[in-house]
Amino acid sequence: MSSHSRRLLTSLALVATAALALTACAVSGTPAADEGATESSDAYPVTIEHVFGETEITEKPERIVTIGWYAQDVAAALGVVPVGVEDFSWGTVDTYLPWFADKVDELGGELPEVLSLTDSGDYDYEQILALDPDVILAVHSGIDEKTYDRLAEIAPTVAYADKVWSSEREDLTLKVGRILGQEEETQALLDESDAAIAAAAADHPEFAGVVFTYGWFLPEAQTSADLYLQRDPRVRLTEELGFVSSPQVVGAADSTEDFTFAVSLEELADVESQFHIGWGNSPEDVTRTVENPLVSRWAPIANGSYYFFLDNSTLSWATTAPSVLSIPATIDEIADELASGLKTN
Amino acid sequence: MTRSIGLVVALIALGAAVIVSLGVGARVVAPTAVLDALFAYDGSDLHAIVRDARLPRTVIGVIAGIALGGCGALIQAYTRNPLADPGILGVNAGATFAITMGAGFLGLRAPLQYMWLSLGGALVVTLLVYVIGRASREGATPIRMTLTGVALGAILTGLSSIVVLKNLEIFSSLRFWGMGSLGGRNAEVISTVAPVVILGLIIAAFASGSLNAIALGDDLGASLGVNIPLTRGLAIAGVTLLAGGAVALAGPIAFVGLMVPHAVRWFTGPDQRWILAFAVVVAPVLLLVSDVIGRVVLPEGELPVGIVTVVLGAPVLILLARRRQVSGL
Repeated sequence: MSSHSRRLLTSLALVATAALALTACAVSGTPAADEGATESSDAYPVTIEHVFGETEITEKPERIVTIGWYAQDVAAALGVVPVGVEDFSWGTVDTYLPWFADKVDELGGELPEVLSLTDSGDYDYEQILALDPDVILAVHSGIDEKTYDRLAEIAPTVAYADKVWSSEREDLTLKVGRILGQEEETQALLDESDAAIAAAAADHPEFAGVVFTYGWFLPEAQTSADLYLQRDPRVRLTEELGFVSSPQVVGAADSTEDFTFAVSLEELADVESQFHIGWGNSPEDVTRTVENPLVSRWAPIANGSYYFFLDNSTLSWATTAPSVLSIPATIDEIADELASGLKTN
Repeated sequence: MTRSIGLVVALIALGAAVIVSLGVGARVVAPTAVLDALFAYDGSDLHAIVRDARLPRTVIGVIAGIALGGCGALIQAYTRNPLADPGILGVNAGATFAITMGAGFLGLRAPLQYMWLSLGGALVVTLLVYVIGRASREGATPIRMTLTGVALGAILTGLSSIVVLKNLEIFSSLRFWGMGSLGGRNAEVISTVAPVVILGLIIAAFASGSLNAIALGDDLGASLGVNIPLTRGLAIAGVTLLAGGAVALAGPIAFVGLMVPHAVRWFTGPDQRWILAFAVVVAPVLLLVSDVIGRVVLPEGELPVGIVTVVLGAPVLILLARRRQVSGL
């Protein structure tokens, strides 16, 4: 039921912000420090193509609102603290992603306002309007065209490239870099992340060539498994560590517009995998999943070769939306955790 | 005599539905292989699919169907409303609300905990409806109770939705169960809930004779020697056990409890005992067939049975409403 996954993840981005919005009343967002002043004014105007058309940015934006995930990390890494971001509260993570908060602290900026939602699950457009953004970055998000149109009335808005919640790190990061007029610095950040991943992969040669799958936990009464497709950033990151996507995952790419696909548990045995990665909100989620009579027979689970991101929500986020900020901070730990679950014969 | 033959036919249909439910899914299993899986299990994936996934799923469908059919028959007789269903007294909403809160905030997710939450929620709401409905000069008339139940049900459904939509973790845990689903449940839930449903069924059978007399009106019923308060108490107990059991097994499933007793009444006539007997056989057939349709209708994944029964049920309801003569009580 991939449409439900999308609905859930959209909710994660949308609904969750409501809870803490009331507490986040201080408007922040001085574009922190001028140290990253490598931009040249002849870089503008910049035109970015995305799923809903083209957006032109005529001068370096100073007040940025980010919708969805990812973009706030890239902007902060480039020295610009957004004025409005999503609420990232999940398990042990409270409001802001830790590497983002650290970076804002390092820049001497103020933590941004958290975007709130209306009862109907829409963004609070009045709040976004009041933040007076120069640009709205929804480069890794699940916004629909109607939402895009509303946002674009407030400020130039850049949506995702092609499909909801699906992006490539290089592409997305460079896009934000171009919008901020700091492409060279952006490339340096990407190189740093790639090097960190390569080092983690080198520390774990056992990952190389292991066929893996990455999926949802099984909610009560679900009869199919939702597996992430290659276009989801978490799958890509795992591949960069040396793992290889299951051929069935690769083959399912065109079967849906979503970032996950559903496999009936009756057909799970046909999905090749030597190592399964998942996540859950509670230990019961993991138990229910691995003890399901059909899942427990599936090769990676039967062999005890699996890992679920569970207690440490920081790592769950780091693998879900791996950015140039989160990767250097967390990739070693992610690799060590995955290694703890991997059983090779 | 016709009714006896009809019941035998319905039982045969139930047997056929069970076989189809064991044989059809993402993997098609031949009937002979189904029998092998049950009686000569060889540990293969195919046999595991039949024995460990489809068998519990089918058993849950049969028991939940019996509970829904029995509950619907009971509640239609009790409220003297031929279009009543367990939802109309707020019972389903109460059970669902209790499970949503318990699973979401208290982390109660074991089958036994589901059942107690479900029964507790069903019972509290039934009693509330009774107490609120009684607070008038005429006492707890079926109409007053129905109105109270509809109102309470609306409130509780709204509250459950708010909680689920505002809390991502609850939403992700309950998004399938909350739509009504026979599959993917721990088989433990069967042995936990079956006794409750059986008890509810015995009570329903016991009450149905007296309900025939009440159908003529409370005064006439009383003059025929029926103990009205006792009959009402039994009916409420039966509804609570059956509706609570059904929700604990398969989540909130709409329309089955409404449609089946109403439809079988065309065939059986107004005798509550026959209606009950037919309803508890026909309802599981409808539920299993809906579940099988849900398994095969999508190119990938499955449609929860609760969605299928609504899609199937809505046109049937329109058909019922369009009949010149609705089968009354």
